[in-house]
Formats: sequence, structure tokens, C-alpha cells
Amino acid sequence: MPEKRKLGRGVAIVGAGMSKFGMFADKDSKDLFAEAFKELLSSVDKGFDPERIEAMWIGNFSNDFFVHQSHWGPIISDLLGMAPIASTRTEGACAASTLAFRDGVMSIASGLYDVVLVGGVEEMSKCTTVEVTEGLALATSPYEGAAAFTFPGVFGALATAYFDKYGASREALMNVTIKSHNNAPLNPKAQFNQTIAEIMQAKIKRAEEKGRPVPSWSDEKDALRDSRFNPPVAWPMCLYDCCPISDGASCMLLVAEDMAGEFTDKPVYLAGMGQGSGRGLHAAPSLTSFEANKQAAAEAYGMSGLEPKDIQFSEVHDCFSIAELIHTEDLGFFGPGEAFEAVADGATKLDGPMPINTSGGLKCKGHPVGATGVSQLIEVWKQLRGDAGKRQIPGRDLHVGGAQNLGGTGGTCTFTILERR
Amino acid sequence: MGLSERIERNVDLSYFEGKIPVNYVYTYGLGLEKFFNAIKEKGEFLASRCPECGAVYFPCRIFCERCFSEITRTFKVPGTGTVYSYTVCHLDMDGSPKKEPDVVGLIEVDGTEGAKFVHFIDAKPDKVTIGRKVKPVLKAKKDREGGIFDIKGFRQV
Repeated sequence: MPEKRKLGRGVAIVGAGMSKFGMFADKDSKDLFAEAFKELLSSVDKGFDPERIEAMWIGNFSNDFFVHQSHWGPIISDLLGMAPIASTRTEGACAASTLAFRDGVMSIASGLYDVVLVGGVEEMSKCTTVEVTEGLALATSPYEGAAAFTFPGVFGALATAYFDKYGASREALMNVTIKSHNNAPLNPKAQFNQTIAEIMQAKIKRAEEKGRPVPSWSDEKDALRDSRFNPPVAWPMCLYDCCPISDGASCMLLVAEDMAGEFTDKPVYLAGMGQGSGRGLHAAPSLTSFEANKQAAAEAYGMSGLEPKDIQFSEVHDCFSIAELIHTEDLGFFGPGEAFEAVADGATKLDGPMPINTSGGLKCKGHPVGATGVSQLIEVWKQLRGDAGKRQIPGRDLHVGGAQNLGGTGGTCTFTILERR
Repeated sequence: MGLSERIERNVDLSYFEGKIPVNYVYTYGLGLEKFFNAIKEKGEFLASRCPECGAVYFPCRIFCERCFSEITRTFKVPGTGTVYSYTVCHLDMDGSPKKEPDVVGLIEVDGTEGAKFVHFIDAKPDKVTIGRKVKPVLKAKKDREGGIFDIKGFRQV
């Protein structure tokens, strides 16, 4: 009975920080986490002594594979000078750091600790493309990987099924991409900082300078239809439907609800959280919905007493453009098969009625897989506090936001609802 | 593209290279071993039904994931099915373009109560449609090794 799941005591988020996301030849995972933690320290409004942190959870998917080093719990506690407190690594593929967040929440809710650090880190870009593809494919179901289904292929098959079922087309995916690229330049932490229109202009300028044939795209979609601009990867997934290879780190400071006032006058509270698991594609009941999403959403809505219509904005796991459509339907923001038309109508834009991925999403912010979940929560935290800078959702009194994180091919899904009271 | 493909190795960056060879052995497990042996020896596709609750599994398994009963018996299915969904892979794993794109599909297998099988579909990308009937194409018996690629793919009929 997911609706009956409650926490033993409330949890507040009183600080957060993240590194810039991108590909960094000169930074390793420790450098990136240090960058994130330094920002966290300065984000706590009333300041705090890091000695108060009693335990920590660090999400990491596969640094074992990417940089040949595992056991990131104690590496990070040592880095921050916090050894010998407990430090645990969590792994749930691309949802690794939301699992860290959840474990931190549960430790406070149980009464075991009052102040904990949660976060995540991943360092992917030191590998070649083929190595990263192989490393990520470790999170597919065993049947999928053996049959040459890596992630672009899996999400390509989901898109084909979605198109067939609802009559959508690649135009729907382009709307998602253009929207994400419009948000990204407003986020200084994002890996990509150009809109599609700006990328088009840059390519035209380069062609002119080099004396090559100058493309004559009429608009953004015209460029995205051009296979020289946007080559197919695993049809219908093309280059601009896929999130990049990234390095990055993120972290958050969680405290027992009744202590929040010691740290800040602007705390953000956990309203509800849920997690589900799913089967491989060969056994999944549907290709246009993730059963793990439904479980996660039922738990989170049940715990919070909120409904989909109460969520004012959300980050969702757009590792591929099609995923954003599926998630927003699974979470109930739009009905089944209705998300693509809502996106076309502008509903998910920064100034639309249901802003999605104000951060630029995984597509543009970047996707250092172990750091992604907490970075999504940071975006919601910033928006609720009014600290999102140029990408602050305009003209709205924000109280409730969501963050949905997916691991593997839907093997792990989480949904977390944060609120400002 | 990863940084190691982008970095000019003489940039001002300190690093050392690790070169540790790791050889993996991927075992099939008891159920899949039976499945692939039947394809190799007889060209047959095996499913199994739980003797207690009746749940059907494809490929065959040795226990029921619903009621945990042991499953010892298998039954043959024709291996035919319908295209449930598909994708067209244009890039190889290293990001380089493939000479010919590969169509990879999810096949809903006949006689299995909806089990899906992931494999290549032997067709031009613009000729593939969801819902089309397909049949498996096997390698010649002498070339079969008892693994997933004993099946060359599925052909639309």
C-alpha cells in the first residue's frame, strides 16, 4: 500500500552544491566533489560547521569501469576530512545519487542521525566513446546487452513504439530538444550553453569562414531534420536527442526538520519520495510507460498527500528526448499519449504552465550519471528558494516541485517531491 | 566522444596509463544453456510453463519467478512472432557510422503469452513495420556454437 508509507520524522534540505558539469581533462572525481562541497558550504545561509555532519551517502554508478576505482564512500569522506564517520556508496545506475538522498532521508527519519551529507559523482570522459557505451550498457538488462541493445537503441525502440501508439513523430522530440537548449544557457553549471538557434548560427558562420557550402536552414526544426546537423544514432534517436558524456559532482545537506532553523530561514522540505523497480524490455508490460515510475509516483504522492496537479514544475530524466515525454505521462502531469502535444503547445517551457527541466535537463546540463539525481533535486531546491537566477520560473509563487530519476532501462525509477512551506 | 579521443597527448596534463587486461567469461545460466543447446542441436526454440501456476517463460527457465516452483519441463514454440517495436542503429559503439544500418527489434514471440525477444530484423529500415509477422533465420547447423548469434536474425514474412 504505497499511499501509507510515511517517514518517522520530517527532513529538510538546508544546503546544496554542484560542480560545473562537462568534460574535464584536468579534474578527477575528487576535484569535482570538492568543487561541489565548497559551493554547499557557502550555500548554508547561517553557516555551519562541517563537523556536524554525522554520516554520508555517495551515489556512483560505475567509476569502477570509467576510471578503474571503486569504493567511493570512504574516498569522499577522506577527501572532505570527515573520516572516520560512516560513508556509504549507493549504486542504482543513473539513479545512484537519488538512492543516496533516500538513504540519507531514511537515516534522519529513523532518528539515527540529525545531519547528513548526500551526493554523487561520476567521471566518464576519460574513456573513449566505445568504452563509455560499454560501461553504460552494464546497466541494461542482461538480455538486452547481449543482443546489441545499448542505450540509444533501447530508447529508439521506445520512441518507435510511442510514435506507433499515439501518432507522434520526430517533430515531438525536436520540441523537447529545442526547449531544453533554450533553458541551458541560463544555467551556468550546464555542459552546453547554446540554444539550437545559436548552434545553427555558429555552424553557418564557420561554413562561411571556411568557404564551404552555407546551410540554408529556415528554422530550428529544419536544422534538426538535416542529417548533417543532427545525424541518426539509433533511429528515431538522433544526435540531439541524446545526452552527452559528462563529468560532475553534486551534494546536499539534509537535517531533521525541527533543526532546519539553525541553518537557514529558507529551508525546503521533503514532501514525498518513492522508488520502484522494473524488468528488462523483453519482459516489460509496456514500451510507452515504465512500471517503476508508476510505483515511485504512487509512493511519493501517497506520502505527500499531493496529486499530479499540485506539482508546479519538475525535473525529469531526459537521458533521451523520448524519455521526457514518457516520464511526464507516467507521473500524471499529462495523460497517456498527451505529453507530445502539450510540449508542442509550449506547456513545458520555462514560462509555460508546467515547466520541465528548467536546468536544461540531462540533454544540456550534462549527465555524469552518479551525480545526476542530486543535481535534479538541487534544481528544484533552487527554484523553490527563488535562487535559480536567470532561469527562475517567472511570475509564479512556487511551493511544490518534483524530480524524477531513472536508472538503466527503467530498472530503477525514483520520484521525489520537495516543498516550501 | 570521450576526452581520450580528443586530448592531444602532449598537452600540459599529468597522467599515467593503465593497461590491465581483463578477460570475462559470460555464462548463460542453467535455463539459457538448455535454450541455446536446443537451437544449436535441433534448431528448436524452447519455452517453459510453471507446473504450479501456469506462468509461461521464454526463453525457458528453471524456476518460476512468480511462485518459485521448480520448472523441469520445456515445450517447443515455432520461434515466429510479430514486430513489437524496433530501432535502426546508424552508429557503431565507437560512434563511427556503420556501413549499413542495423535494424534491432523487439519480437513478440508466438505461443509465449507475450514474451519479447531482442534481435536483429533482416530488412531495410524503411520496410520494417510494427505488427509484421517475422520468422527466425538460423545459421547452418555446422556453424552454430550454442549462443545468441546462432540466430542470424528475424525476417519479415
